[in-house]
Amino acid sequence: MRVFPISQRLRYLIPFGEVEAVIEHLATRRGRVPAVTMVDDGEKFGVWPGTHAHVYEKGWLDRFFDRLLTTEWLELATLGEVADRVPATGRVYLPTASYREMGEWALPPDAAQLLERAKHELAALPEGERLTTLLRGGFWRSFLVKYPEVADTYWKMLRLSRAVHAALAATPDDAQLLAAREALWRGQANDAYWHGVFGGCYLPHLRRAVKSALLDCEQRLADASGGADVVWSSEDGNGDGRLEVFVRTRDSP
Amino acid sequence: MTLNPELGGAVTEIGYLPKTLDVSDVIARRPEAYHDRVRAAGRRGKATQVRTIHDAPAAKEAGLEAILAYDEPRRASLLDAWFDGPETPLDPLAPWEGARLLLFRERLDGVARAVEGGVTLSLSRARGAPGPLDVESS
Repeated sequence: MRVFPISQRLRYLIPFGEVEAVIEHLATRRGRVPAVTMVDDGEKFGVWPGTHAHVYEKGWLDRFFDRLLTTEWLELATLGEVADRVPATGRVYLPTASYREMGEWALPPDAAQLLERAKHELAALPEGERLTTLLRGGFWRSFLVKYPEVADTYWKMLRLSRAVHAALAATPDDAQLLAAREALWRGQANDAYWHGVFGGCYLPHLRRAVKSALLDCEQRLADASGGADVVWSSEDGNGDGRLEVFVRTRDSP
Repeated sequence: MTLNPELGGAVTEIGYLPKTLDVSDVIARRPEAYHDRVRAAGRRGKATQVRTIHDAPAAKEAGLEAILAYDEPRRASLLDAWFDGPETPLDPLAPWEGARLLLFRERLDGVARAVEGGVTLSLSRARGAPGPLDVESS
């Protein structure tokens, strides 16, 4: 497996900095690293507030691409091309991680405020900005603690995943099960499983899309297994140490 | 359908399979660290623009600090509580403060058994538990 570390600096500069600042930053990396990686959210280019005017109407994107193409020392390449041509720079072992802000959002509010204070105080020290990069925040699954509703969806997804894969192991070509697996995948879209600053699990259409896909999976799984009209269990199905009762009945004619 | 005997019998999922719709899909409002910045922006009296996902968000519009509110407990169906008298007007969103007994805080004993066409879940409060009443429901 090859790992490409995304440049946080580029994530900030593109498209919110001046085009020239992007080139200046790349120039500082020139000759020092074999490649600089840029991967980011498409929403920045027209969906987030104000970005359509900034990126298209005011021409930022055109200027940016023009400048990339006319900068002779700069070579644009896909990750695959780099992987084929450039030897690995080293070995890396990664903890479970995401971008820095995600770790901050995952923390309970009190801890997040403490972290913010620590970052602020550290940043005032000489070399402080560099030191703050060591402050990582929390673990993504803490979102499941902060938002038990999300945990319920997450654990339903896990229960369905186990059931779908167990059923597929027995009958790998069952069309209904394969469709159930696709629905499961749709139900794994991450957006509704966390909350940062822009909505996430608070947005009803995101939750509905995920829950609808999981119910679709559940329905197809039930159809594939034939089974009884009433299926139920009493267990701790969401990892909170308490018993839940899960019941599924067939639709009345 | 998901029933929670140990959350006082609350129902947290009602999935209607023909429409693949969870009609009990609700979420409680909870504190986040960035809410303090929303309150501070409100005190300064102006909205600030959020430009990137990395920016510290304050308020995208004025007045948000006035409607920051939190829900306790989580939202669900069949959250039961005991209130005194019908003359006490209850806040439809947050009625719990004046309750004498909050059943959703209790781990009720739940016994589920299959019946024709469904399942019956019998809930009961431990005998001698503090509060004004015993509870048995199904």
